[in-house]
Amino acid sequence: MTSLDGGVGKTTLAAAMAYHAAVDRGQPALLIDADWEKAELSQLARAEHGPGWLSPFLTGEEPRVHKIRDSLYLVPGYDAAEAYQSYDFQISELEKALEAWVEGLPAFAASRGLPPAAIIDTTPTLRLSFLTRLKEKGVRIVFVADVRAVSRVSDIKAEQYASYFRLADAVVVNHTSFFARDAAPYTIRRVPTPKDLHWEAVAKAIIRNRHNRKTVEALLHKVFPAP
Amino acid sequence: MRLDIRRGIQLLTGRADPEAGRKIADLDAGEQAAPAASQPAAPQPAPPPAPSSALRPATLVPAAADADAEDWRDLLVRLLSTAPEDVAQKLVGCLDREVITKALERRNDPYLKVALMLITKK
Repeated sequence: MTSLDGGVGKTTLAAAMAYHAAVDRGQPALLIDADWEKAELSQLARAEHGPGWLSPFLTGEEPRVHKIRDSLYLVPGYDAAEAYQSYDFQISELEKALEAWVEGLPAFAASRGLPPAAIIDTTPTLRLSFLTRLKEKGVRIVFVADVRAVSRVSDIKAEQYASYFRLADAVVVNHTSFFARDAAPYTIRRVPTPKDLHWEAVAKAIIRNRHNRKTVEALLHKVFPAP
Repeated sequence: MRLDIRRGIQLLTGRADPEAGRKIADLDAGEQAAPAASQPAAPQPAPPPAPSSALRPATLVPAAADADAEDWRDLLVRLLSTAPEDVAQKLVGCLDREVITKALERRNDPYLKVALMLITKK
């Protein structure tokens, strides 16, 4: 899950996709919170503080997989968010660690009885060269945007969006109104914010809307096609 | 601060295999030191599109086969599968059946095994 701008709803869409897969479809799901700027998914899921996805590379510790619900697991990202704030990191270091996760995930998942596929929530504006490398490894890229993607802000912005669109396997426009629901192949309609900002409440609020549920279903088919 | 990519991937995969994550670790090393002049980097052909490592449920092809450099069998199969059909047919017609069988034997894939059994059936 990637985006150009922050706050477009990557994390909530990732939560909705995982919820729909695990709860509605009965298909185990694994989330990796690789948003090294905020680790918001870990917070939404109330994951315990502990070694997350970066720890194997940072301290040599095993990541603690957090079971957030039956058949739904999360590798938290607090360690990466703290490291990002505390150390003088090169972004390329974090990119390499995430790339290593993509390589090591099948073995990691198999040895722990986890689903072999993961939804990786990321930080906004990942470099195109990095996304290209991930794509070459078979990662499917879901690019999430809001209406800024379909309303021309400037030529530069339009070109930036175009570069990400070219790489993406699916482009989702979030927070659309009823009338703009066909603005992109995948759109998510704006829904009322739940009082309880817990991942499950947020996910349910999104997929309670019939149009959104169809979008999430279609996205899951797109990124996790049946073997 | 630098991350230890090699250690990380060994921990994830549970293998003390130096080959695990080699490509990424090498990327790491490549940034620190340029390749020695006595060992110029050989030009690598573009790798075939890899199946998703994050998404594939199980791998039919041993990792070692993926990691090996392409040899003539890979190139031949790729040529035949991407050439226009009439050209591919002409090429297949010129090739010894044993050559094609050898090329197909390169992959440890159950579907290919069955195809090979059919081809070599007398």
